[in-house]
Formats: sequence, structure tokens, C-alpha cells
Amino acid sequence: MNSAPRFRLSWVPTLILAVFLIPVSLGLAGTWLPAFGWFPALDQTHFSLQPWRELLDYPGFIRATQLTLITGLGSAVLAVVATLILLMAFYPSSLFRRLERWLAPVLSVPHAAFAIGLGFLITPSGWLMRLFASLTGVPVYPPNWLTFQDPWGISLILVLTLKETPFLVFMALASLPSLKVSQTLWLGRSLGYGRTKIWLTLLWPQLYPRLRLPFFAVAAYNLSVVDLALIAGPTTPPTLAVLVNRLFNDPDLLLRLPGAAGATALLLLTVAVLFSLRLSEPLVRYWQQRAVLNGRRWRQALGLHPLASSVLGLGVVAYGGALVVLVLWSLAGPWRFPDALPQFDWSHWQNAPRQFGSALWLTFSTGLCAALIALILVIAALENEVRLNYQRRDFNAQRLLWLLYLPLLVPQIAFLFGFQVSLIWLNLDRHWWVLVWSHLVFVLPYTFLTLSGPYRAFDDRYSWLAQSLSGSRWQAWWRIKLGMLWRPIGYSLATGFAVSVAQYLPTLFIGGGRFATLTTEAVSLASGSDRRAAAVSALAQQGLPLLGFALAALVVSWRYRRHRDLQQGGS
Amino acid sequence: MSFELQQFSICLDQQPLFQPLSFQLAAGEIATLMGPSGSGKSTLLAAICGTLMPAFQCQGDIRLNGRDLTALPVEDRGVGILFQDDLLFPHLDVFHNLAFGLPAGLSKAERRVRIESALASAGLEGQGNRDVATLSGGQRARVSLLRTLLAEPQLILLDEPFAKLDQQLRESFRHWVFARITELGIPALLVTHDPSDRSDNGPLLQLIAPSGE
Repeated sequence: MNSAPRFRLSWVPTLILAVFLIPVSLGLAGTWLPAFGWFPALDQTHFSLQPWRELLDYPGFIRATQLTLITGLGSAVLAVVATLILLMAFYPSSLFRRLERWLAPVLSVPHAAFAIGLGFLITPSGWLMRLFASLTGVPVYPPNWLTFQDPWGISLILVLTLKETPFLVFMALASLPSLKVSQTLWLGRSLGYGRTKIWLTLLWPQLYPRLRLPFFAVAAYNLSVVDLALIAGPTTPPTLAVLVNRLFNDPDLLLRLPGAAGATALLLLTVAVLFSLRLSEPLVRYWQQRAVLNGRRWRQALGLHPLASSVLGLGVVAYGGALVVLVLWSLAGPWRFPDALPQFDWSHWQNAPRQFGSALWLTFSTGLCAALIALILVIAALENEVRLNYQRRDFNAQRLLWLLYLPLLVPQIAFLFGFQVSLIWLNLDRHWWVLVWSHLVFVLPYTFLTLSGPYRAFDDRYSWLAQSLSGSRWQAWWRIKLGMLWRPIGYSLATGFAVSVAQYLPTLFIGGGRFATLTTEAVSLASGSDRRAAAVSALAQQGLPLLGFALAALVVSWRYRRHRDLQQGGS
Repeated sequence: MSFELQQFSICLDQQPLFQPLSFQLAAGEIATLMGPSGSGKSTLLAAICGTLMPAFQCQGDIRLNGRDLTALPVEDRGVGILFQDDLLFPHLDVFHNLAFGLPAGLSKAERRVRIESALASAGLEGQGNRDVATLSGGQRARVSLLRTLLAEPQLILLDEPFAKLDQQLRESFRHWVFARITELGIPALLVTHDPSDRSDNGPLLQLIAPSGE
């Protein structure tokens, strides 16, 4: 009998923990010490509260904190509400199934590219105004409005909400099949209740616990985002994360100490917000219980459909318009204000290989390596889980989930500065593999999130059968299990790649700005005056992940071209 | 060739699922195991094939040709299994589904010969490169059994393999399965709900609920 070696997998969870915890804990320590005055590299070796005093006195700090709370919390709550509205109105339906197919390309749009495109769309001299002006003849000059980067953070809230809603919808879709939505709706209606009431009192209470971690990750992200806030956020003062980023990059090196205090303040703020969200859940539940008891049927939907349709329409216009306007600007020669279309000029694309070639290569190689390493680790961890299921009674996969979400709940800027300082101290900075590692911290959770569902849902009887047929666990796993899972594996590989491509802060901090990827290029060009170069870089940044998804889909369809059961629609 | 259970029982939370079971099968014998749903039939099959969940504990011996199976992993037991669902690998064609069952170390020509003759024995000559999704229900069931037999198991477990087939197909497939197993001369254990599925060549077994209930 062909007995292949049995691979030991029990070390995998430990390795994954190390990948996460080393950067996060080194980084947090390396940020907290300077926040309290300890920074030997700058001869600061006395613990004190001086950095905090400097931070409080720093111009705009209080306003920046307010802005952070308003934009971060506001956009996260809006994203959840938008998700709920879309689900209530459209799930399950054929429209929703069509939407599902668009989710992957929409999710793969990097934040920076989307914000740049949306900016070109809605600024006073943007495409929407140009279309309006060229159709009606007024106004002749761009109006003096603040529709983008407004001081109240409205455009930032808009961009964040539009960017995070598809993610929450995606995460909800993973849980919805187990909630028996159709049956619940049917049952509720037979008791005379309207759709809205059934969703709010019967379905949402079951869905929310499964959506809590993604929602918290979105809140933490929105509170601490830097690249989007640089492009779409207010400037004087900016949000706290951008302010801290400024302090970290100030020519006056001593400002790194109040910067570290600011990063820590942002961490505390995030923790406080997440705690208050958690603590406010009983209030919502109390309201739900009362709504269950009062017996009112809410048979009228009260404008749910028009509302949901406008949310959907806004999303379509924003994503579609942002893409089109980026293409237009990347091909634009002279483009005077009221004209709807520019005079076309290919020269920006002809210059692109010279201008972005090396950034493209670095983005590609880093993304591919991070995605592949993450894929191997995640598959090993999931396979280890399957084996533990058959070996131990007390095994509980849910506990792992909180740990996996850790890097998504801690603000990036709260530990990346400290990680950079620690790397310099260990003489490890400026290595390419450290860049890959820093991306891996964020790629791993998303790879796990996309692959764990289909991998866990695999029918184990195929594995047993294959083991008893081939007499080899390796053969059964490699040829049968992985052979049947090409589609989800390809999808999660493309997801990991897209996450890496979109990373801004890790790329900026590791190696102190010496690594230039398409994302760092796009962000720095976004604040410049050359809209054409910004459009080209944003399109390149957007195109790369999309290409990844397209390639994955293509390879998978080619592999399964002669196997009808695994063509489109298989898990 | 012989298969033997001795005073075998399975417990969940210290509660036995059925009274200790003992029986012996000679080569070519097909035992029929009957019992109501939830009496532990599938659990017993999982124990014999080595895929029991850790929540269950077994007591007693499972011996196949003198070897004790209880400590062996699935892949080393030499126990073939046929489920209610055919579980054909959807990403492989008919030929490769069958090839997956063949022992290692055969020459290319030998593989082809064995698979072609297996296909011929099922009335599927020259259908090797077909997508399994295009086969009819009866063809799928036959390919599934062929695949199990090509692995040369020393015991074959049949977990209600006829349950999902329609009446007409069911009878002819059952005859064909029994004939193949008798031909190979290995013991087999059939689990079923339907008394008409019963094989004439072997004992009828019942799982009896533990006393005191």
C-alpha cells in the first residue's frame, strides 16, 4: 500500500499567530514608548507626558479628533444601514444574484483609485458639473463650492460609505444561506407581517452577530484610514490619522514623539468606539423586543424600495462614473471647463511604462508573494482544522476568528510606526521580504475570510472515499480535494493579491518611503496638479487587481471546461 | 478472506447506541444490516471504515483477514465504501475517476486495459473521456461501484447505495452489484431500509436497541 508521509500541520496556527502578533506587538510597543518620551534614537530617554502635552497643543488636534469621530463612526454606521436597506429590499431576488456577480470586481477597486475617480466626478470642475454645464449652458465657470475635500468631511463619509458597503454585503452573503431567509419571510408574511418588520425583528437579530466582526473592522478602518483621507478628507485640519501621519513624516524629527502619542490616542479612540458600539447593542435589542411584542404588522413598506433603489443607483453612478472619468482623464489632452469630453491624447499612456514600470513590478511581485504565502498558510490551517475535528472533541474554530481580525481592528498607524522603529533597531528595515511580511499581516485575514467558507463546506465523504481508494492521504487531498476547490482557491488568491495592491501605509512605513508601489504613486499624484498622471496611476492601480480576478476566473473556467458540474455557479 | 466483528459496540456520552454486535462473514458473503433510522447503522459503517467522529467511542474488535482495524487510519484499512450518493469526482472524467481507484505501480498499458475492461463490464465501452456530469443516474452508480472495486478492497461497505435510484434501475443495479462482489470473492456489508434489497447469500443482521429503554 502506498503510504505517503503524513504531514504534521499542528504548527501552522502558531506560525500564523507569529506572522500577526510579532509586527503588531513590536509595533505597539515601539509606538507606546516614544509616546511617553522614550526614544533613544533621538536621545530622548526620560519618561514623561511631554509628548501628550505637545499633542494637545498641536494646532487642530481637537478638531481633527472630532472629524475622525464624525467621519469614521458616521460612515461605518451608514454602511451598515445601507447594507440592511439593500438586503431588506432585494434579498433574495434575481436582482441580488446579479449584484453578487459584480461584488468581486467592485471589492477589488483599491480605495485610493476609487477616491481619485470620485473626486474627478464630483468636484466643482468635475465631470458631473461639466455634463450639467454643457447641456444647460450654465454655469460658465466652475462654481466656488466645496464638494470634495470639504472641511466637514462629507465627501470623506461618502467615499468611505460607498467603499465599505459592498464589503459588508459580501460578508452578509456568506451568512445569509444558513438563516433560511425565504422561509422566514414566508412564515412572517403568513402571520401578516410586512417585509421591513420581519427583517428588523426576525432576520437582522440573527445576522448581526455574524456581521459584528466585519462591522467593527470597518469602523476601525474608517476611523484610522490615511490614504483615502489624504485624497477625499478635509485638509485644515485633516482627520487625526492624517495629522499623525504628518507628524511622523515631519522634517522636525522630534515631532515623532507627539506623533506617537497621537497614534496611541487614535488607538484609544478606536477601542472606545468599538466598546461603545458593543455596549449599545442591548439598546437595539431592547427596541427589537418591544417591536416584536407590539404586534404591529407594518404592512406598508414606507418607501423602502425607492430608498434602496437610490442607494443602489448612487453606488452604480459612483463606481461606474469614477471608472469612466478616470479613463477620460488618462486620455485627455486639453480639457476646458464646460466641455463634456476632452480632446484625446495618448501620450500619458505612452509615458506610463517609463513612469510607473518599476512601481508596477514591485506592486505585482509583492502582491503575488504575499497572496501565495497567505494561501498556503490558510489552506494548511484549514486542513489542520479538519483533522482536529476528527481527533478532538473540544475543538472550536470560532475562537480563532477574533485573533484573525486583530490586525483589522487595530489602526494601522498605531503600530506601523513602532514596527518601522523596531525594524530599524533590529537592522531589518529596507528588505523587500519585510515589505511582503507587512502586507501579509493584512492579506492573511482576507484570504482566510474568503476561503474558509467553501473549504469548510467541502463534503468530507469525498476525502474518505479518495483515501480508501488511493490508500494515500496526500493523493486524496492534492488530487481530489484541491482539485475540486480550484474556484474558491483562485478567488481567494485574487482577493489576497488585491488587498496587497491596495496597501498604502505599510508600503510607506516599511523602508521609510523607499518602496514605491502603484498605490503610493497614485496617492502622492492625487494631491498634485497633474490630473492626467493621477488618472493613469489610479487606473493602473485599479486594473492590476481586476486583472488578477479575471485571470483567476479564466484559469478556473479553462480547468473545468470539460466538467459541467464545476462550471459557473459551483462553490 | 473473512471479516469479523466481536462484541462490538459504540457509545455516545457513555450511552451505547445498540447492543454489542458479533458476526462473521466469509469471502463472497453479503450481510444485510437493517434497522430503523437513528439506530446507529451509519455510525457502525463509519467505525468500520475509520471515519468516526471523536465524540463516539468504540469497544470490541473489528478484524479483516486477521488484521485488527480499530487503530488503522482510513487509507490503510483496505475497506471500500459505496454511498447513497455516487460521489463521482466532478473535476475528473470517467477514465480518471476510475484510474484514481487503481493501485499504484501499474504500467500505462495495464491501467488502460483494466479500466477498459471494467467499463465494458458495465456496458460503458469507450465512454472513458466523458464528463461525469453527462452520465445518466444508472451509469453514475455503476461507475461509482467500478471505482471502488478497482481499488481492490478486502471488504466493501454499501451504505444504502440503491436508495436514490428508481424502482426499475434499482433492481438491475442491485443484481449487478451483488454479482460483481460475488465474482471478486470479498465480504460485503449492506445497510438498507428496504427488505427487498436484502441479499440471499449472507446473514441478516439487526441492530437492537440497548436494554433498559
